[in-house]
Amino acid sequence: MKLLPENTNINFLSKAPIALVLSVVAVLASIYIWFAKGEAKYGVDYKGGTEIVIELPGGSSESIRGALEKAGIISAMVQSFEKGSDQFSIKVSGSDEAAKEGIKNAIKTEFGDKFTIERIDVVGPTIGEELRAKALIATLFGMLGILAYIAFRFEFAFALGAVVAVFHDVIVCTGVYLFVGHEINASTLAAALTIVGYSVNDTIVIFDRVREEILKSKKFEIVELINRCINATLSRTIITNLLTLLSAVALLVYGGGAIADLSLFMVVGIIIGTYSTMFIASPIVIAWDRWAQARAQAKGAVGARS
Amino acid sequence: MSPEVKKRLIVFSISVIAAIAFLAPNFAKESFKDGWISRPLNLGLDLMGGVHLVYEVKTKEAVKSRLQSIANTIKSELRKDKVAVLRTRVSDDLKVELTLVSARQLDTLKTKVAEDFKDLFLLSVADEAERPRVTFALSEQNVMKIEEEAVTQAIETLRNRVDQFGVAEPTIQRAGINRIILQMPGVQDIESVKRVVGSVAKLEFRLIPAGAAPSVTLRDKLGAPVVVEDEILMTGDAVKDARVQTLNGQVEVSLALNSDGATLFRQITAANVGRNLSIILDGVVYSSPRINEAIPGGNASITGGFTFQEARELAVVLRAGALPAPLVSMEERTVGPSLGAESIEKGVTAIIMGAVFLLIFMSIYYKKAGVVAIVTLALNLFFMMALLSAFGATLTLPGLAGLALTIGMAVDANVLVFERIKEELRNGSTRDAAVEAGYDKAMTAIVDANITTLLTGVLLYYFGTGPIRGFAVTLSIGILTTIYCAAYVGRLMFEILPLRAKGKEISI
Repeated sequence: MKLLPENTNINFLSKAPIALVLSVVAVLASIYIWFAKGEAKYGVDYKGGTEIVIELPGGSSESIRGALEKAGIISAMVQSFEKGSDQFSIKVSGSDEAAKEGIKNAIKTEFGDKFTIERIDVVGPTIGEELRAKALIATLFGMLGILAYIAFRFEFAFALGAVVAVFHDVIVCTGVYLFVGHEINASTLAAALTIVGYSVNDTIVIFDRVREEILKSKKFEIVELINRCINATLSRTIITNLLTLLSAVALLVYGGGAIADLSLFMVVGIIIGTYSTMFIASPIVIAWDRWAQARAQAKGAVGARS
Repeated sequence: MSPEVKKRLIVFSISVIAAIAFLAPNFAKESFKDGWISRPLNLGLDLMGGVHLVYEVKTKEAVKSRLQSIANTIKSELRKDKVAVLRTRVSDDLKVELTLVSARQLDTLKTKVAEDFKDLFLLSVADEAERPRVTFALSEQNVMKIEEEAVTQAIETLRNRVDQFGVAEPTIQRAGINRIILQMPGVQDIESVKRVVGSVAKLEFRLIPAGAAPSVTLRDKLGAPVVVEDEILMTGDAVKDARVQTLNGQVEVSLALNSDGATLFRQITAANVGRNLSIILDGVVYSSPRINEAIPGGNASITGGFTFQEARELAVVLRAGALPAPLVSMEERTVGPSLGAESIEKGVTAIIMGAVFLLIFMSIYYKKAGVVAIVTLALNLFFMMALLSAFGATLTLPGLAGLALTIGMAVDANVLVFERIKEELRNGSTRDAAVEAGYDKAMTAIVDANITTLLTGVLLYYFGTGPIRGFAVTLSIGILTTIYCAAYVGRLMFEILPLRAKGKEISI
């Protein structure tokens, strides 16, 4: 079976300028959302506070909010955990015994024994900030590791391209994630790291082909060569993306709760990972290559004159 | 069959046998207990429900109480030398201040401390002429030593107390300098855990003053003030065992004292017949019974109108011993059992659906080679579970994300190889040449991509905490099995199976 006609030759890189504009807009928009949301974007894991998830058959966010207000808790955030489910998340910024017991009592007074507590997270403010700092450090070191390994196995230009692409992917995915109203917590981080994995994998597959072609050919034009490599691996790209997307969609549809959260990130990440290989990582390699050649020529010219 | 293929087959067989051995405890928990090479895979709290607590040990309090007891010892030693210490005080910045009655006794105090309390050094002397106030402090090194001991002892005490709960597989870990992580799978009542684990349980026996003895005012359970003597006659160290008893409808905790404790208790009771002895727990006076006669048997009891549940918790903490310092809860998480079960159920459904898609697509698109891919993927999961068992890993929700990523990369490895084989076949290679070239050429991409990811996994494990580590562990192990299955096992299958199609040398 064949997915694509032989000698498929689409000039992907000619679309790079359009993609660049698109990416810059997406990255800026994501950064804007990140800062616009302020502290509110963090879940209790990274901010500190109390979150109680209850199951209340037939209940609504409004009725819970009402019960809390009756008990004098006005600053609580109440959300339906998933659309149409009986699970609700109640969040307050306090992380002491009083905050937790206050919510529990308010709910109990109003709903009696009709509810069950599914989950309680109480995170002190110092721990929240520590976890946040540690997550950041872990992610940064992960990225540095990628940079170092690719630079060692390929060339610096490739490493730079891959890492910029990864940053692009994580930033845009986080932007999308925040845009649809999710918050950043520990499982979000795991999802973001999964995207890093997919993005790097995709980039390396293409770069591996580029490396191979460069070694094979004596003379080449870099844009044409990379285009050729993207086309040569296109059927693989499509099949792999399709398959991973299908599993991610299965997770999204059947997973529910925290798993669905994760898979949304993955669906967006898989698509963006492929996009960024073609339109971010590759153009960076080309740009670097041109810059290096220009510098070599300039040096050569100086050398010839003297 | 070439010798090379034979060798590969042997290696493969050994790896399967090893994997079965590692996995065995997961299927027959009872038959493979301690001493076996692996343990059954644990589910994390997010998947099976339970409580997770992070405590900080208030190590400064441990230093303060050590200083207080040093001060008390100095005071009683000096009393033997007929030197009266009017007052002892330990300040929040960890200094101990002793006030003497007369300036003439200053030198005796200084010599005493210099000779017998070498950990202390003299800071300052105020009011030298009248009633000298002498301030001592501990060296930085000694403070650190006490703090370190406090944390290790707190962990030990927590372990004792948690054992009394009878929960399967609790974990108690030290985190950082002064934090303790406690995880109890399957437990729901976090309040009871916090009461039992988090109470200091400092037990003291003091007399109700009968004369002009130095005294302090404490409170009873209802908040009413009770005046007791300053001197602590006996502490919880004397307790050997504590049990709940119901006597005449009243719940009480009966204490069995150890031999030193029994002797001490007999002496105390003999010397103070007719007086009242207060039993104080964490600064609260529980009861102050009158001593009718000397009590020789080494038994005492605490009454105080508590419920059976309270009495049981009290007995647990008394049996396990006191904490050297108070604990402050920094983070607490409770996961209900249904939420975890739901996560697993949904996750499994999703994985099965994903696997079905994969099965259909691979067998249609890659035909018999697709079946090879499916078998290597199944083997990949099998080896992954075996290695996770071998490392005694815990499977968490972020861990499942790592698993999903691994499966994705394993699928990609197969697709990369097959597409390359197809490309080689199109260029006119024979079956064997195409398979060989396909594997060789795809391998650099597979290895580079996986090693980059492995590197990320290792760094995340090293720098990460909790959930990040769970992700990193499954990811790193998955990468290793992926490389093995895709590169070694898949290729072996191509070499020993015909995988022919009608009119073609290879079905791909």
